[in-house]
Amino acid sequence: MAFSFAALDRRIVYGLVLLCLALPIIFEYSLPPSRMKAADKLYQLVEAIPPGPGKIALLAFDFGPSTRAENEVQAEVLMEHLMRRRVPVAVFSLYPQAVDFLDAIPKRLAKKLTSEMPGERWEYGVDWVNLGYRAGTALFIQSIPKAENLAEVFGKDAEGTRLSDLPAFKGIKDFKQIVLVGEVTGLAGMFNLYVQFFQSAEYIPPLVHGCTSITIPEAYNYLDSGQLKGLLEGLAGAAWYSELLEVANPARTLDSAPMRNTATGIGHMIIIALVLLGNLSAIAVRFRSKKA
Amino acid sequence: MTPDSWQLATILVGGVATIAIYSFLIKENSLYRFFEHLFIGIAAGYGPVYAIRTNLWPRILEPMLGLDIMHFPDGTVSHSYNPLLMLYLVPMLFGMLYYFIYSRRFSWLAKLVIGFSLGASAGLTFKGFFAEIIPQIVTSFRPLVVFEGENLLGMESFSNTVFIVTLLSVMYYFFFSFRVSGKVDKGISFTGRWLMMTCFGAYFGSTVMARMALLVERLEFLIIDWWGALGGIINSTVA
Amino acid sequence: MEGGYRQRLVKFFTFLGGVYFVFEFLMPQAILKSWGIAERHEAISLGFVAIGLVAFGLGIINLFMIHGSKIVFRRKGWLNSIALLTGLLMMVTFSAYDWRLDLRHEINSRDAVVVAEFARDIVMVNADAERRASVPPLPVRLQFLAESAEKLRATTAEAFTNEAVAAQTRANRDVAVAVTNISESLNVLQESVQRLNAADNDEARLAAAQAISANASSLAFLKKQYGRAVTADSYGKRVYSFLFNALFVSLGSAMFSLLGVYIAAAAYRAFRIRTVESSLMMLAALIVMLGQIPFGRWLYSELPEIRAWLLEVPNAAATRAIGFGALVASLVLAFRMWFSIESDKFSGDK
Repeated sequence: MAFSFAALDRRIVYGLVLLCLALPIIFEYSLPPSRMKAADKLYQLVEAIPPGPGKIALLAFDFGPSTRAENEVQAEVLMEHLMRRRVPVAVFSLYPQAVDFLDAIPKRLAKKLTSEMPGERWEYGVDWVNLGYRAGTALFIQSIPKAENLAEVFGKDAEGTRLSDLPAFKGIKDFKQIVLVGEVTGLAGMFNLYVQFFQSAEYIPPLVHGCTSITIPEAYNYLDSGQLKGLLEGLAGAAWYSELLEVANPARTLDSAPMRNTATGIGHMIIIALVLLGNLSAIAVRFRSKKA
Repeated sequence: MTPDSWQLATILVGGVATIAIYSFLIKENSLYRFFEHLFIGIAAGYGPVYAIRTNLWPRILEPMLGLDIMHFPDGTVSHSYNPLLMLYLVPMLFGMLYYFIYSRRFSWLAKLVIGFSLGASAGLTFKGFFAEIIPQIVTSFRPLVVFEGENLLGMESFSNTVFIVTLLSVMYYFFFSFRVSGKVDKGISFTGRWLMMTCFGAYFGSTVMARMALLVERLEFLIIDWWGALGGIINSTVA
Repeated sequence: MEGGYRQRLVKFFTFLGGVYFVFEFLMPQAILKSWGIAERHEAISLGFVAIGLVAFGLGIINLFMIHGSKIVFRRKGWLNSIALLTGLLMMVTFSAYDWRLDLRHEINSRDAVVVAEFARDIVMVNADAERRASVPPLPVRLQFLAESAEKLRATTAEAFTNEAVAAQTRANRDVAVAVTNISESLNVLQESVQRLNAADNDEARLAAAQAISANASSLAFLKKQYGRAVTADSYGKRVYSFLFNALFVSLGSAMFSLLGVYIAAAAYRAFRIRTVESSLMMLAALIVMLGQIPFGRWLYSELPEIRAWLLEVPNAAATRAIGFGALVASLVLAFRMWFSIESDKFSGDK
């Protein structure tokens, strides 16, 4: 009986995929990532923010374990850049499953930066604030732009400290003091909430987005319309951003984004090969049946 | 248990849990089902406490009960109690109607609050619609021929033309209000369909990256963290 | 007719739910401000949030009803149901425990918060002639502030100089850092109190009060930090972290990563290039895939640029065209929902 590729046991394909993806991880092999123009744009935007107090960047980590593979590295590189630039950051989430990431990511970054630059300190309350999980999704987001005092709208941080007592929020009242809004999510519809509601008649804070790869094509529409000012395109975007940080800070400890990006690249090649083999096999079967 | 052993246990159990889920790739089995149920339970138990902890308690209940008022040493208070805060009882009691969904006789009461929430989200849609669509409409108006001074910018002009053709033909493809019959109509509709397929190709290509990234993250955990921890245990046992 | 009455009531409440946001959107900002709605917008929005917040128990009740009955009647898969409910109860218990710890830290730092707020209140009220009349005279208030700040300093210093704290400091680096910071903060507070006592005019006294507010506020924060460092290794925290990292994150990530292998199987079984449409789709997919990976540049160095153009131009335009349709549809649907035009089944009696 003639061999048909389409009839191949799917478990063999599963095994092959897992094995190929594992290779760069086993050998800790990584290649320089592809250039991502949208991530370049985001990098320049953060570079243009003047450091110091009197302003705040809001980062929404709206992701859970299901998309953390891409979103976590995106959140890390973006926040690392802001912390390096000494722009105070407030992290929060509209998604309860992100609560622990809100706590862990900034702490991890502070530790990493302190070990890279022993003389300097990144402290909670000064360099970042964790606002925790905020319920109400659209209802919550649309209530912020009209606030007369931002510290009052957010009230307390995740651990119950009044924001007005934290140095990062000292002097932060007006919506116009939000210099950047970063939305890192893989949830359908979550990003649109910021496009639709996070603006007042007088001011629209620059919105940037870390999206899972599935939503990259959709995000480009907003990038074109100017509703998005910068974009991290899935893992590839995070890897390129990491590369940019690397170039600017040679002493920086390498994160896992480039290695993961290389392994993901192998995954892409396998998919391309499988599509081609599947088609060739189908052509061969058709050819044989015609002949018969 | 020391902090280190907790960490070790976390990695080891995390690896077992991951492998249990991957066992589904071979065939459906009871180990997979067990961990799947465990995950649903943990995920469901994660949100409610945080809803109370970071929202209901500090933002509504604490001020409503006056627990945020501070009594100063000179006998004054930080702020006087605002009786209007008691008005929050109205939405809270109204929200309690959700629980009537379990009663056959009174389940219609739950429909009141569900309807109210649907109405509120509809109201918000009006607000959000214009903020989202207007900048997109505005930026869709672009010149087909782009000049910089007196120089024709070929690539920009080409891109703008492709953009406009794609936008219009794809929109035309979705006009179901009338029958597409003429040659020109069909031509535009076909062009729209082909360009849309190009767009779907981009979606497929991006989806591959998303799926692979998820897989790579787990493999990285299994190979570096889990296998590393397991190797450490084996080595110390052998030694 | 009872059914008709209920139906009308549901329709009325559905309409009522949307009124505020439509009104708030349509009315000019100046009118909203003059009517006092703009300043209450956040509080009103919170009222809407409160409706959903009290429903937090729905999911838990549902799961208990479905899986509880499975366990009681020993239906197929009852052991899995035990796992589900155990996971749920453990997560609720340990996240509640975590909250309890935070509340304890909050209570322990309350004395410093009161001093900070008192000092701030003194400065703010002094600048407001209207409010000044309703509080004791400034010298009296400042006297109270000096005494309470000194008391805070003394009690905190005493609490942090016993053997138990010393032992914790030796065992835990984070605790040691917090204790050192607290000790430094107490010295600064003492200096501010001395400045307040030594000041000979109101301006200097108010400046000292402002400094006390900042010092006490940072002391409150540090006391919390100390509390968190002490309890970081507690059994409850460890179990919570174990449940989150070992089970929740691992299972969640693994579950969704299965899609990675499924897409591979789909690639060789289902993606057939037979028509112009599928060829175009495959070509675009190839460009996007190769353009975003490190190997793409080996094949053709301009691939990332071509990918970017494809996403920026035809893709963005097609997505926008589809999006226009979807957005208009969502607006129409919102209208129909708001006026209960097509929801007779929902608003009906059954």
